[in-house]
Amino acid sequence: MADPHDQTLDRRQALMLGALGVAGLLLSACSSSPGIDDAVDSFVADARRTLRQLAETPYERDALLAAFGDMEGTARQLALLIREEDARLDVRMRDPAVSTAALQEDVDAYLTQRIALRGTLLQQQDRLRTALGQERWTRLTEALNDPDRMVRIVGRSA
Amino acid sequence: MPVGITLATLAGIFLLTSGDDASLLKPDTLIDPLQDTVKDPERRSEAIAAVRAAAGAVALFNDAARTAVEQYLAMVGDTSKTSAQLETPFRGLDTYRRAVIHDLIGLRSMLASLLTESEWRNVLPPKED
Repeated sequence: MADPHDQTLDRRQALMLGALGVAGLLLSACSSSPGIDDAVDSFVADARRTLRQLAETPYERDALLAAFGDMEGTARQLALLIREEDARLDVRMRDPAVSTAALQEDVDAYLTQRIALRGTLLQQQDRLRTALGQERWTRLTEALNDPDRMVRIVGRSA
Repeated sequence: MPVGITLATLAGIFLLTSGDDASLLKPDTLIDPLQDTVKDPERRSEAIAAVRAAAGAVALFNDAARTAVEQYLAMVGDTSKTSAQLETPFRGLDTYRRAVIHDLIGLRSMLASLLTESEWRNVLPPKED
């Protein structure tokens, strides 16, 4: 575990953040309080810039950016689903007129959608990692290792 | 600013797997309103016992979610792992999450049968869509 006063992320944590970041941070952004969005935009911009640098050909650059764009799109879609459905379920749970059966159907439909989107997101991440290979994937995650930014984003739920 | 980005914190942000939605109704937040609202000691204690049990179930689920994230994190840096392998820790959690939410819906039914309309409004005030 990190020293709570140490602003340096170790290599494993950087890997985690990079791997989680694309999905986790974008998901966080969509449900975050004001002031976080710019940190997420900065994360996305850094990821795109690093991918451009890591690409060995213009063709590969376009492919990597497209793969990242796919992930970003799915992450935003998933975040929106989570935010909207959690809010909707919260409202309906409090409404005594809503039946138990209706709520159970709502939950089942929501979780099915959520699982499908998560699977898509992980497949997209898989394609990006495979396209980059171990060394460049590690370089990408290290390039995204910005403790201050991560703290701003993850601090929301810390 | 302290960092302390621990696995637990990461688990908190990782909404792909987090227990956020299993906290619908947030059972632990219902205890004080129940204490204040339900004057009949028998019904009050029955309701609070059910809510405490649900809160415990949610806490256990959140522990399981953190464990799943830790398992995911142990694999994700390895590019030889496929998306199917990466998803493995979450699959059991999906069933667990569904069960916990269904239990919360059961708690809601129990409270609906136990509380009067006005007690319900105090304990679970309506939220705007």
